[in-house]
Amino acid sequence: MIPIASTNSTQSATSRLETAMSVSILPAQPARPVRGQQFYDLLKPFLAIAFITIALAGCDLYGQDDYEEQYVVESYLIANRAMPEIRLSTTAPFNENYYFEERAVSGAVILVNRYDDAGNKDKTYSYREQDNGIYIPQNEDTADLVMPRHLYRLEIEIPDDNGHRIEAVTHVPDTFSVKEVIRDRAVYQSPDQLEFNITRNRANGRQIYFIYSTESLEPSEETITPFWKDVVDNYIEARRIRTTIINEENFDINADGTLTLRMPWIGIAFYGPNIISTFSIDDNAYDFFRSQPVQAGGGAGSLSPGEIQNIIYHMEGGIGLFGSMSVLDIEVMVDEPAGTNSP
Amino acid sequence: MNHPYTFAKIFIILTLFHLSGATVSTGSVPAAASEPASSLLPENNAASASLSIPDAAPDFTPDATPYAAAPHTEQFGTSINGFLRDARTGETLLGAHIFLQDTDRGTTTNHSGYYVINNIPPGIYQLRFSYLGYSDAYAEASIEEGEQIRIDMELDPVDFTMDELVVVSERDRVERQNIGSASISIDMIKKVPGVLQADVFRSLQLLPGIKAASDFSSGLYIRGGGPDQTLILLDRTTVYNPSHFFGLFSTFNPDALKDIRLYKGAYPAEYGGRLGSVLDVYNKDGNRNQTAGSLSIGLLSSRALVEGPYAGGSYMLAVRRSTLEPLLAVLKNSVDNIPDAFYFYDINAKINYDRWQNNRLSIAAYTGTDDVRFPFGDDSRFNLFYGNRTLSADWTHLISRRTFSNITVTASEYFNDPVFEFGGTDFERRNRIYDFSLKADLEWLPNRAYELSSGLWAGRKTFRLEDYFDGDQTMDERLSSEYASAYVQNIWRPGTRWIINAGLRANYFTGGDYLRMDPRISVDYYLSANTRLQAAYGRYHQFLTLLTNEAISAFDLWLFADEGVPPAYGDQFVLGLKNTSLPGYNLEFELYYRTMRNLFEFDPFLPDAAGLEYPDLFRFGEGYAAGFEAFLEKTRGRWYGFIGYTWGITRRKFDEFNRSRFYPPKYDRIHDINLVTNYRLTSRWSASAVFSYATGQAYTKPLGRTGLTSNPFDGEFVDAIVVGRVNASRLPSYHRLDISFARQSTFFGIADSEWQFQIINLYSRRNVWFYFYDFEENPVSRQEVMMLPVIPTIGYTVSF
Repeated sequence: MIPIASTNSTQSATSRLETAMSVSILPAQPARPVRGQQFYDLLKPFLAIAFITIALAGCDLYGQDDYEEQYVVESYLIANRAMPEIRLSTTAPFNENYYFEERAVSGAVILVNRYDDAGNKDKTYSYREQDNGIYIPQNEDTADLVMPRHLYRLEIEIPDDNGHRIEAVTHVPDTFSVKEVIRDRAVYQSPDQLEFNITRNRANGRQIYFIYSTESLEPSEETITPFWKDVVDNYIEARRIRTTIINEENFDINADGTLTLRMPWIGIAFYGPNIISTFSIDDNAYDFFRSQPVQAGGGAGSLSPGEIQNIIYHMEGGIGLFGSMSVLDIEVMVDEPAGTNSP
Repeated sequence: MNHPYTFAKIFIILTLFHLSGATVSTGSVPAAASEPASSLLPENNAASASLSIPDAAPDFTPDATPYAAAPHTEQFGTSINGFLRDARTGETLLGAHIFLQDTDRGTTTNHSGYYVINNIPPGIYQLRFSYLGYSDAYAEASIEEGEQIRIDMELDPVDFTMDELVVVSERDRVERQNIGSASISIDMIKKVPGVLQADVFRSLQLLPGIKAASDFSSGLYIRGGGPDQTLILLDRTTVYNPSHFFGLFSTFNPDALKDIRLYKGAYPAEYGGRLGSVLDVYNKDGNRNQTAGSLSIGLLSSRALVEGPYAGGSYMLAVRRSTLEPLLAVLKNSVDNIPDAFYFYDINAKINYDRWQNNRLSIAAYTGTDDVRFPFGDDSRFNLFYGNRTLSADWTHLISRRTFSNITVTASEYFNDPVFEFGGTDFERRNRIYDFSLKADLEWLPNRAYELSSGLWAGRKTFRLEDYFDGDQTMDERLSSEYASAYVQNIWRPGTRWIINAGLRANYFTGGDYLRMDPRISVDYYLSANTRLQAAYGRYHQFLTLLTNEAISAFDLWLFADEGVPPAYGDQFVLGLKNTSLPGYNLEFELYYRTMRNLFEFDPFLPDAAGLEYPDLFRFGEGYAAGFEAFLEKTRGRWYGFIGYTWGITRRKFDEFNRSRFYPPKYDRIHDINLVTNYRLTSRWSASAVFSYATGQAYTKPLGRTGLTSNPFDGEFVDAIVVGRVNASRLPSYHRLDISFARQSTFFGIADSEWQFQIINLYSRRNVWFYFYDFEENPVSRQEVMMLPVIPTIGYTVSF
């Protein structure tokens, strides 16, 4: 075995390679057309398939659809509170002004049926239009309370639209109460947080979904916390704030079955007296308030920017929210930490 | 699940049938004549020693050279084999060509740089060793019946000349034109203009079929698949989040890399675990001849590389670190909201022991971290801290001249610990993936017509996710799953024109107790020596999914299949036509169609995962993609480059999303053209340009709006957008031109140096990333969020 050559000329090396490929390696070939023509002949079927595919795909069957007006319903049944108002409106084209008053729908026939545990209808509430697009129960029912653990069915008929019907149901969550106030006064951002033990109202086999809101009883420029001062343009915007949905499993479950709620400091916007409201929401509110923030890039954040999915509605013949909840209000006091100078 | 088993059955029957028809001889092989090692060394080419080693392996003769593998019935029990290396650095050369001149015999080196030509008729042959970018080398071999000859050869890299420049290896004409394959050279990666620094993924995104989600994302969106559908291997070790700087760059330091192999689709049975594609990256072994290094200084980061020989072999150490701190320190005095810390780094290290004749051992390690600490406002901050660590030990063993084994032990860790603090309330996440595995591959070249390989990949993945809210742990999810996959694959050359690669891969995942079979087959038909028709089919399973955000990869979260969450699977069908008729040009066409079933993704509507059952974290769906790719490459001359065109669509469908209709993901781009060109102006100056054009990405056009006017929580108006078909509209088309000039020089006469001047987005095209809607306005105002503006950069590299 004798090494015979080495070359630094890539040109010659490559040429030799090609020569080898075409002379030494290839089996004898029959006479063939000019290389370009042969190549073109080869490509023809392939390109034909490609062009047909592209042409077919060019007929885009997934084009952008047009705006269609829809009816919008809004109503919240809160356990042990009066039967709520129902708002009825329509959507607006995206590029137009939106004011509820301009989109309100009048003249609708609205009924809300209540069903007992056995599924029997035990009461029907007839609604009347109080204001443009705002409906309230008839006079005799205005003091009636929403009953927890009951099913309510909404039925709307719009005579001006060929009797168009809208239907939705909600199951009102059970109520819950404070079992023990562990701490209802605390220094802002101290390790000792506002803390309560509450009873659980778990039902239907699913955990409880909470939304917290805090309402300051003495909001002012001087009492706003540094974080919220940064967030809002005007302090009054933070007078009532709310959290996103928080699952029950985030909190400690005690041996006696109660839940220990610790108020996160982000939920406090003002020093001084505040009312903390703990809402336990039904499936309709859960689906609405978990899908609505995703439209603006919130939620799990896994959708690409620019991809917008519709909100999850549980309604036939329209969109919106016919939801229910139970709520617990607790008044607390938040002290400003010593040494901080409120602006 | 009838399909995979049916295919498997057919495959096994076919394989057995053809094997039974082969002539098998297991007769003893005579001891080979040995010659002094020095006699094998080409005078000017530093070829290493050749030994003849007795081999009792079965007596077949395989060839890897297509269109040349005529089956022979006569058996000679001979073989020539060895390793090919770079003469300057000692790096093994992957995919280099070896020809027996004036015969139809030849082969290519495998991923360890090893080659073997079996069953050569006794005689005297001239061997030519060829690898583009390198000078050819020649050796003469006289071989007798039963003789096994080893010839290790080293090739000299070609110095650049004015008139001739070769940029792509000749192997591209064969191996890299395999169906679904694509490649880009390290040289090209360093030359094409890159945003602030050269980047592997950014360069790959220029190839047809591979799309970028945006100027800010280095994620690989290949043939309609998302980044999670590409298996990314570094020295055969899985890397889970290969990104720096929120995803702007990939973690692979081009200085440290030796080879990049990309299978865009229909990849063979030796790989598995992803629905779409495989990116197989290999670090340099290190210079075996002399100590060398380089130092690069850039605006964003600087790189240092040192490599060299030691008594047992070679080593390589490459370090890259961002160098933004001085800039941030200056800005901090005058600009608000400057991070307290902002850096990334990565370190690649490899050491080889290759003094054994038939064994080679290497240990490779990688670590990379991104750390951003950013205070904002009066009472808020966030800290993003994520990265990867990998460690692998690789043992290559020549069992016989026809049998080659490779065993790798791998360890991979991905960590991601973001912390947010708002107004005294902390949100904290600790996410870990630990992946320990053992890989064993065996290649057996029984004769010219068959090339059998098989392998096993088994390991354990552990996923850990801890969430803390306000100091309390709200999630403590820990999943562990053992996995194992085994494959058999046979490359069969039944005649001079056919190559059939059939394989079967079995995958087992203990989480959920899933056993899945993946049949794969590809067929090449040589219409002529320069024209190949190709077809391929494969089934693929994926046991992982990635929760990621296209805008930022710092929160990437991998989740596993488990009970109630079956693995995703899909079928791929590919047709290809490859032609190299014109000297110095490659022309490629591919058509593909692929399905994606049982897709599982983290439910984007999930506000809080606490307390949910594992399957409830996901949404389930399906998808498909189809496309046509055309690629024309000029590989030689002072002007070289390529143009790639892709027509493609991809669609997804998930229950209860978009009314369960198929819709395009944002990154879907119907037309995509990339033109990459390099021109060597003088012996010192060269210029590069990249022009990209693509159909605008899909977005959802809001059609209507409404809102809640009286929510009982805070009384604020809650906006609601009404949409029709999701992602049915298109952003304006995307186009951009980047240019680069490089000047080669010396560093005070003691080292080579290069200046690189670049302008990204030369004509400052303001490409739209997405639309933002301002609901503070009535009517809502739409604002355009733009991608990169014009960016000039400069870099300097010293090589010693």
